[in-house]
Amino acid sequence: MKKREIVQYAETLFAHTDAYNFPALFANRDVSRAFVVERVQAKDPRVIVVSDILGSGKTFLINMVVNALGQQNNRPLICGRIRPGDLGGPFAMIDEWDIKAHPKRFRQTLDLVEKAHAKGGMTLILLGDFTLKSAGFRQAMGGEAALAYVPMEPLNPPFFNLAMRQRVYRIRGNLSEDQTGADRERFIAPELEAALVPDWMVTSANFRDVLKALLQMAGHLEPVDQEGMIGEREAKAWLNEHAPQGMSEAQRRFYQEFVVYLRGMVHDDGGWPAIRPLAEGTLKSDLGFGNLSDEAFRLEVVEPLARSPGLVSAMGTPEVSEDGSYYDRFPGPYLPGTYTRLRIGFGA
Amino acid sequence: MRKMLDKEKLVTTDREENYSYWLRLHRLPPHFPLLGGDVAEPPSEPFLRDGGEEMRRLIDQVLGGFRSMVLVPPGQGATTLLNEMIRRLRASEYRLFDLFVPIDVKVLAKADYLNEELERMIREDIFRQFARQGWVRALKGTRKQLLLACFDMANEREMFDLEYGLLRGEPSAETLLLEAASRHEGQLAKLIRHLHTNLGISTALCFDFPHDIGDDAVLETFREVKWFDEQEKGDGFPPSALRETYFLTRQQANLARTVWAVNFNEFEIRSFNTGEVFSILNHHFRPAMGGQSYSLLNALSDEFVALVWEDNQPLACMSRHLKDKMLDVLAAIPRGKIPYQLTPEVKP
Repeated sequence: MKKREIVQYAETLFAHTDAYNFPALFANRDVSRAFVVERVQAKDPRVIVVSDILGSGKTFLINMVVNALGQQNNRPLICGRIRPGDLGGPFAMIDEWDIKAHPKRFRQTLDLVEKAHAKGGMTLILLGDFTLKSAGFRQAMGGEAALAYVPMEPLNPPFFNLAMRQRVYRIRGNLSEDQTGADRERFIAPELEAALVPDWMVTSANFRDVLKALLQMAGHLEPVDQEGMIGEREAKAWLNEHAPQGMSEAQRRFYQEFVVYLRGMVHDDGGWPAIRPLAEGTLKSDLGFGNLSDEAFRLEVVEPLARSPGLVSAMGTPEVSEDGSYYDRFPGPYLPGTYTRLRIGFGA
Repeated sequence: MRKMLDKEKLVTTDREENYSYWLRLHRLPPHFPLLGGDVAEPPSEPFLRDGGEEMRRLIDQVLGGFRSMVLVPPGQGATTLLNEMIRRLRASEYRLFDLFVPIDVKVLAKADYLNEELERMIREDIFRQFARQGWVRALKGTRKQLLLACFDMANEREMFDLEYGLLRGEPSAETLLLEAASRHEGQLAKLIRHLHTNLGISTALCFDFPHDIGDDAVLETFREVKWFDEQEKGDGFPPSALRETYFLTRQQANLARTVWAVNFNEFEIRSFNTGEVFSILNHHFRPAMGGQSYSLLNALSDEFVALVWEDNQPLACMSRHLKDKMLDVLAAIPRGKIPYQLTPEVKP
């Protein structure tokens, strides 16, 4: 693809799925889609739960299903906004059960849902992050037997590739949406793609984050009529532009050590190994923070970095306290976020 | 023996009394040197760095993008900046076809249903601006007629009556305004799109996040805006119809960007240095004598500020420490030896 074309089409190539002004296709989620359709049509008495990381396309998935089922008049409800009367019909989907919610309102909605479900005769679909897999949520809903978790396709390289292929075809206009078998035109350098979407991204990153980074990197590409790709030069410019700010001394020291530690794991040819989520205790001892208490390490070092986009991804299960007074939003273990993975590959 | 007791009494004079005396000496208000919060009325003209150059760059940034974050160090005048920005934009000698709507997140956070409160705030402010800022005089032809239709008015005289009634604080005018606004309840996206498409007016939301507001409120506010963006705007919503600007701290911005991966243009306001902090004090508090005011430096050494200054600390916090330092110094000085200019070194 010519560099000028990448710049020209960047908004479409890297649009997140719900971008209103640049409609983009979404890679088919055949298994998850079929699962939801089947459960709804079978009037499964269990609550259907779509639980995945933020930005993984849950809402888009359910919108596709709802349209396919002819339920588009049922507007999605949102966790925390629901009033008792809202759950009177035979079908309801409730979105945004995630760390953005206020814990008190999360609990209030959970109570309403639990009561509506107990009455029976209703199809309920809940969408949210891994909080929907937390012990507190399962217990409130009456245990595992009351819940049908949708098996979500992993956000892995083949999935990413499929999404990119579909978008290229949309731009070119020469192939149908389903014709996705052929190789796509390259517009992302392989080593950059490997860092952005490693195999184990299945749990650590989201497409929205990756697509946003690519869109911003495309902004560093020269708009000339010359074949090219988004690659090292653009990645370095992006890293420079988005250098983390406002870290404390301990956080800075941790982050430097974290990058060096992970860089040691990457293969000599730039290939990425499968990195398992790293427990707080492991990070604390391996990166030289043994002198800090566990609590201080978490609250002053790791968690603030998990609360900054792209640095450290919290992989634990978020939990809302039973009285709705507290939301543990960024628990460990941890993995490198998008910025850190690029820093390992292309940064200083 | 008696002589010795008198001497002791002189030395241990009550520090609060000394402080009060020193304030009276310079005709400074009792709350000196406290800044921020609801301590006192702010000066009519806000303190602006670089003779307003920073404000001009901030306005360029906000007008140049549809989604901006203004990062302000905690407690260092985010609300002042936001209010001054809006004041300047509304008072522009050339009318901007933008409605700048300030949103106080502290008020939002208290609402039972944040989304409803947010929608109400925006809707009512839009109508209030239409009524109070003479838009009916600025718009011509069908645009004027459509504006009148929004209020369900037959002619502009009714609008002038409403404007006059609001100016006089008449309850009936307020009722009329709220009734007009309530006719568009639950249709904010439709209203904003209508104003842009048919009247050529954009809406600019300016969110003010207090630095000490909790994570719950920050996340819930962004959740509502995200939901509005993805679900309520609908297909074909013109990007230029709505502009969002967030005044918040870096920590709050990081948290928001962790849960919502979209592009934000960032504009960072740097922390006030010692000279600027003293200048702010001088801007707020002017000693007076013989009907004339003079520089605070005549009354207070700027070395005090150097003692209490800390990077990224709220001004309210620094000013409290400053008062403590002054009290410490005054505690060691007998009443008869209180100097005209107070310095950190005690000179008994």
